[in-house]
Amino acid sequence: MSASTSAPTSHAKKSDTATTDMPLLNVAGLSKFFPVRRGIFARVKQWVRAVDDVSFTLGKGETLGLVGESGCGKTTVGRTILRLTRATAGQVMFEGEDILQLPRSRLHELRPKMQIIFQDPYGSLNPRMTVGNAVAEPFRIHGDVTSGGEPVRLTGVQLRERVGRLLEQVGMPADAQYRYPHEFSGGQRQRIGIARALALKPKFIVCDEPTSALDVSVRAQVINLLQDLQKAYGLSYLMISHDLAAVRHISRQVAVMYLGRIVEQAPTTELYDRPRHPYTRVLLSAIPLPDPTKRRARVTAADDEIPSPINVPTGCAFHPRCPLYALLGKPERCHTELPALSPVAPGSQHVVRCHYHEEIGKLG
Amino acid sequence: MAPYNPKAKTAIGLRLAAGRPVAAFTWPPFAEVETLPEAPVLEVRDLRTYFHTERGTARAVDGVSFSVGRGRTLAVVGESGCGKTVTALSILKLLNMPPAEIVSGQILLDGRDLVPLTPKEMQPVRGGQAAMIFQEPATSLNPVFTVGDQIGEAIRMHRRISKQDERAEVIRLLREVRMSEPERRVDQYPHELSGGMKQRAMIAMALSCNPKLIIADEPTTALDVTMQARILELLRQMRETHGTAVLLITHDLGVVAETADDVVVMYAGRVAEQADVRSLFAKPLHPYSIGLFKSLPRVDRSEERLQEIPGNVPSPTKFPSGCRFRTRCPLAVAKCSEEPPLVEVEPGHRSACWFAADLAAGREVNFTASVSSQVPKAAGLAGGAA
Ligand SMILES: Nc1ncnc2c1ncn2[C@@H]1O[C@H](COP(=O)(O)OP(=O)(O)OP(=O)(O)O)[C@@H](O)[C@H]1O
Ligand SMILES: Nc1ncnc2c1ncn2[C@@H]1O[C@H](COP(=O)(O)OP(=O)(O)OP(=O)(O)O)[C@@H](O)[C@H]1O
Ligand code: SF4
Ligand SMILES: [Mg+2]
Ligand SMILES: [Mg+2]
Repeated sequence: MSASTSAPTSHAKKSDTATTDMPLLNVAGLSKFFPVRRGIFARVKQWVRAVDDVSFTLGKGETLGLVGESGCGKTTVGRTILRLTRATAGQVMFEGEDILQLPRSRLHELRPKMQIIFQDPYGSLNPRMTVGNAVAEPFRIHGDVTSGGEPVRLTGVQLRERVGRLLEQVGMPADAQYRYPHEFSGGQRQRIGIARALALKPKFIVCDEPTSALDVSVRAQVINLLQDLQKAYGLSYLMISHDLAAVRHISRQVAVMYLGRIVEQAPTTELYDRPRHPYTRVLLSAIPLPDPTKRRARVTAADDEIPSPINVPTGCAFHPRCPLYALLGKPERCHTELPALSPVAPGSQHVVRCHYHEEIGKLG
Repeated sequence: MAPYNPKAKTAIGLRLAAGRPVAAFTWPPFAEVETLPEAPVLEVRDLRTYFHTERGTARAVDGVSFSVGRGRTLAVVGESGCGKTVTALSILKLLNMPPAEIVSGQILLDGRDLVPLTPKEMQPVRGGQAAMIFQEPATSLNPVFTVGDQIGEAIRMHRRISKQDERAEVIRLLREVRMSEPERRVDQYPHELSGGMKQRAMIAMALSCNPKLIIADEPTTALDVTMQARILELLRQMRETHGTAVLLITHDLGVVAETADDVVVMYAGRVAEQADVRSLFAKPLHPYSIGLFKSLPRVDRSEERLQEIPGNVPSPTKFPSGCRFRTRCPLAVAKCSEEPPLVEVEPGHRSACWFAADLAAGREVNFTASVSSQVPKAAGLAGGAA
């Protein structure tokens, strides 16, 4: 995986799982602007720049973490990649085909390979449908396409056995299928959602805040499950979350978003241990560490509010809050010129969108 | 938690509002005298709050005791459904009774027991001596009134004030909670504010009557990490400048480590462990707390695999007899079907586990069973072909 605005296809780097030369997913220049209308018939006056020129690649069996404050566009990235929301511009190459350009029929054929797990384990399951019917839903829509040939219609005992096995794979008893969602806890419901996402043997899963609504101990169960499934089946994940600890644990690469743009991306340890963007520094230092002997000094951002994606600040969008900008005496470039997403050193996989990232040490 | 606190033994009278001894003025050891600990702002003794439901009696809070001293923060942690919110709501008597009933216990606020008070007598206590901040600021602010109206009303409830002074006071409070442009915010409606700003408005409202106790139930759970850091900082300042006692409810151990002085770990309506924050994090002495720490992904280091506490929190109508954690505990033996008492294992550090002394002596707890251990290791998802 790598990210850069100019050469999104560059290096599908060495990985310990077997990868072919072609990454599983290659996103280039993805943008999504939502129109803002005032009144029903009014003309569009403004745009919400929810996602603005996002590029990255994701290899087979890998996880890319996507982090950032609320409203920065993480969910929109996930939804546009799966074409659940129409992109404004860009390319999403999945195994060599551009998802955004496919005719509906071909998209329908590809759907089973790409799944999504939602944040809210309560809202994402229909309360009136048994767990079994919920997990079997993909089979009803697509038939059983997992053998690779023509879709097979599963019924009766066959279907029940299959659903039972899927539930067992996520650590639930097979007979859970005859019960209703309200009889299960949040963590169990999240596992049911995962079982449903796995039904058609996907290759790629967008996990949108899969653990945010869960308790500490249940969160560990779900994280471990996702990792085990990845190892066993070579799944690739786009892990969307504002839980930076969970993302560190599960991702190989992490991208940080701010107001619709990726501002930094690097291999996980590199990003957490040597962040180069002032915003990443702010985010990381805001996390309270579970260690009372390490109460830390914070790198804080100026200004209380995240500027809205309707009025994205000029130049570097982070400049109104940037502690480095303030420290350097408000250099003009920051508020006039959009920094490019560029490697911290020639050929590095660590890319950052800041004019002055070399001065980051000054933040202490 | 003054009564259990070994640190209560300090040089005479030389304590900051924040409760810390002033190092520079500490008298030489020979002059150190045992002083009576300051009376706690809040003391809860053996609180039991039950819900009478069709499915039986839910013993949501079942014998909980703790206390919070002036200028101190006590964190109550534990998993969803363990009774944190019910404890908080019981203190201010904000529960609907029935179905809820405070079956036994005392809630001493500044020495006065709140349990026998009538709703009318409770009114001046709420928003007077004690204020509460909720998780969802959006639902606790009224959408049809401005921020100024609502904070103003809170002020008027407890003192007579002219319209003009009221506005000035609201602006002062908004400034105190670091709201940007308070002169403008005062006339804004809740929907015009972000989540973090709404939470600040709630804190301003809570502060309006200079309470001795603030109960904050998951005050930052709905917020971003950056906003969370600011709100926690604000609570810390309130405590230092006004000596407010804070009861902080959370399930985030990072938040606890960063803000609490003392901690109560709850499990299934009971106190599993109680200690000052440093001892708890240095050496948890209850298998449940140990499990919580082991299952935590860390942002400051990488590890291979997280440990899991198997299973789920039992439902409050079906708590196991004896130690309520025994159904998930790797140390459980026959004896655990008797209820272990909360005993002081080390000074100021209490645990309700039969093996607490062993744990203090270094016994390991390993949570091995894993929900996902059943994931077939061979490639291929459940399918016709696999
Ligand atoms: N359907 C829509 N119409 C208009 N604006 C939208 C729509 N969906 C999202 N937005 C806006 O796009 C921006 C990005 O939203 P998105 O949900 O992708 O953020 P996010 O990073 O997932 O945030 P969170 O962490 O809160 O889930 C926000 O400003 C949001 O208000
Ligand atoms: N009105 C009610 N009727 C019946 N049971 C209730 C009622 N309110 C709460 N309970 C039960 O009391 C128990 C404790 O709930 P409480 O809200 O205190 O948990 P909590 O520790 O605050 O959890 P969370 O972290 O999810 O907020 C729960 O099992 C809950 O189902
Ligand atoms: S480009 Fe300037 S304003 Fe933007 S992050 Fe770098 S220093 Fe801060
Ligand atoms: Mg989202
Ligand atoms: Mg609660």
